[in-house]
Amino acid sequence: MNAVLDVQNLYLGVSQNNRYSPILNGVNLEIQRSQIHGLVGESGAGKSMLAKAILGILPNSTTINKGYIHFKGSDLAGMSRYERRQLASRHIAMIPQDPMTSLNPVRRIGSQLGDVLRLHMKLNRILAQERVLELLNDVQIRDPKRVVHQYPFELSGGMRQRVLIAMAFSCKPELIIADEPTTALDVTVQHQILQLIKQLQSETGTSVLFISHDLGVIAKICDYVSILHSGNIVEMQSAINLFQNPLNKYTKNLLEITSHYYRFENAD
Amino acid sequence: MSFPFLLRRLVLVIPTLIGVSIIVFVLLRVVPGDPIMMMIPPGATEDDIDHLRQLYGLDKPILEQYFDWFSEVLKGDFGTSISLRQDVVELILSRLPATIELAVAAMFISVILGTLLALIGTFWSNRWPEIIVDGFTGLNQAIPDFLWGLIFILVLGVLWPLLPVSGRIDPRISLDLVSQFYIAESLIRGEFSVFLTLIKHMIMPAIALALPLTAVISRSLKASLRETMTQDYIRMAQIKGFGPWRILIVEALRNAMIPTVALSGVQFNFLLGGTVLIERIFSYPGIGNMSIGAVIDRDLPLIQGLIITFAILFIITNLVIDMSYRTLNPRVRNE
Ligand SMILES: Nc1ncnc2c1ncn2[C@@H]1O[C@H](COP(=O)(O)OP(=O)(O)OP(=O)(O)O)[C@@H](O)[C@H]1O
Ligand SMILES: [Mg+2]
Repeated sequence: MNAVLDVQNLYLGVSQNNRYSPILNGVNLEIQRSQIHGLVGESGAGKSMLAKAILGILPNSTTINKGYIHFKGSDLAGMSRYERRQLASRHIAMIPQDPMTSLNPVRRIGSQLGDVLRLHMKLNRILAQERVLELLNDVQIRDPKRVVHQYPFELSGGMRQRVLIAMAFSCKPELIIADEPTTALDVTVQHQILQLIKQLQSETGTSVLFISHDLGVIAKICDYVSILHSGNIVEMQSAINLFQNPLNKYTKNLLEITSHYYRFENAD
Repeated sequence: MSFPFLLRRLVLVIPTLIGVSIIVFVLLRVVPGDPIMMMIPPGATEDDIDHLRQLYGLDKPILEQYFDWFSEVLKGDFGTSISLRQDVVELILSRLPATIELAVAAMFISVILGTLLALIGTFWSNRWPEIIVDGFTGLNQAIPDFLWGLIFILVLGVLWPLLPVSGRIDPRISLDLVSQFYIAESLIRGEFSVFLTLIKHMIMPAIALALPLTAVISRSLKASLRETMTQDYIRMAQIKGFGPWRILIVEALRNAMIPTVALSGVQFNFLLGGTVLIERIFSYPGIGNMSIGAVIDRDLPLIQGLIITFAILFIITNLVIDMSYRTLNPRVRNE
């Protein structure tokens, strides 16, 4: 197998007011190289928690009790923050859910992007600024020369998400985690953003873990899909098979309830 | 910084100053206490008193006195001090630099110290450094600046006499400085031994003035840093792999400073007001100290000049605060 990331038997729970409640109960998830892997599940299923565990940003109240997150031959679950930063921060990037709050409001777009390049790609200031213009161009932002001098509040939500996508792809990561990257955007922009992610993914060969509860979106861009239900992955299939021939009862229900929302577009 | 903003603010300064001057002028003349009674020698006759009253124009109606005074002020003349028999403007200008240096030093200390404490308390939150920061902040919110002044004099001036307790400079040092900005000038000229004695004289009053403000800054900044650290863009910076100090200083501090700066305008004005007592306690030759003398002597022209001076200082501080607020916050910068 040629897996980029391999989550094995992951148990994770949250302690609040001296009460412990489990969230993930033995999750197995393998993400292959150059794949868009969908993660579907109802609200509260623990999709974002799984993403946070992979990214190393779990809240303090949350603990990993068992299991592994294998990445590049090491286990991210058992690492200190410092070790994780050294090993994985360059290679695992994120496209956030809310582009309105995910950029620093008092810093210019150009320096926010440039800083990431200087950190991981060891570029100097001038080269970084040149590269930033290319990156903005790649995500189809018009007039990048102007945008680099702007602040986030001067850009629309779609523009900001494009900037964040540029940032996610900027250091050639092996895996990008996109946690509902289009839910905060309006419908016309959603489609463009999805197309953009798919296009950049196929150009770069990066793997994407694409989280959504919208099966229509999943059908549009994913190669593989995992269904998360009551703390477990109940089904893991190629997208084509999943939509035509779901194995698990929960998945069948999910497809039936939501069938009027999506049209299967991956078949052609 | 946009030009119309500055212009608008400067235009507002004029009515503000006129308002202040009217209030002060009237108040000084209706509160009890007669400047003439303070200056007459024992055994002066009724005639002498009337004569003096006439000389200083105090026999006229208040409104007329005000217009007389105001028309002179427009020419740059604030009159003559009754108790010191010198030109008010000259008197104030000779003492003002001392106060400015003291206040700027105190503001500098409180901003640096307050920011450091807030950063430390946030970085090691819920651990012992935060407890120490909170304790220090609480203590300084409870103790006023003049009490610190007295404690410092007792401890560092009397029990362990390490620092001079009065004045601005050792009187045995012969000064050949041209301006009254001793600290700035001695630094520019490279006269470090003079600079050192100046600092020794200033350090206690400056710290006493700075401590309450330090507490306000560190408390407010720590609260907004804590809030800022939960924001999505901070989480993004962590994911991107930036180090924790860099995230705190580059990503969080500037955002967190915005509300603190907005609040510190009032606080800086408190600090300026604090110079009055502190300068008195340390016999520091600034306009704060001079104000107490002027009030004791009922020196009306001098009091009026001093209050206008303080009003101008308040206005300048607020302007500087507003401008830094605008510089920090790109949203309001170009409005
Ligand atoms: N900071 C937190 N502290 C305690 N519990 C939390 C916290 N964040 C989430 N939870 C709980 O963890 C569970 C999983 O939440 P998670 O955010 O992963 O769901 P999700 O699948 O991403 O849902 P959605 O589709 O709404 O984003 C939920 O039951 C939620 O109540
Ligand atoms: Mg979620």
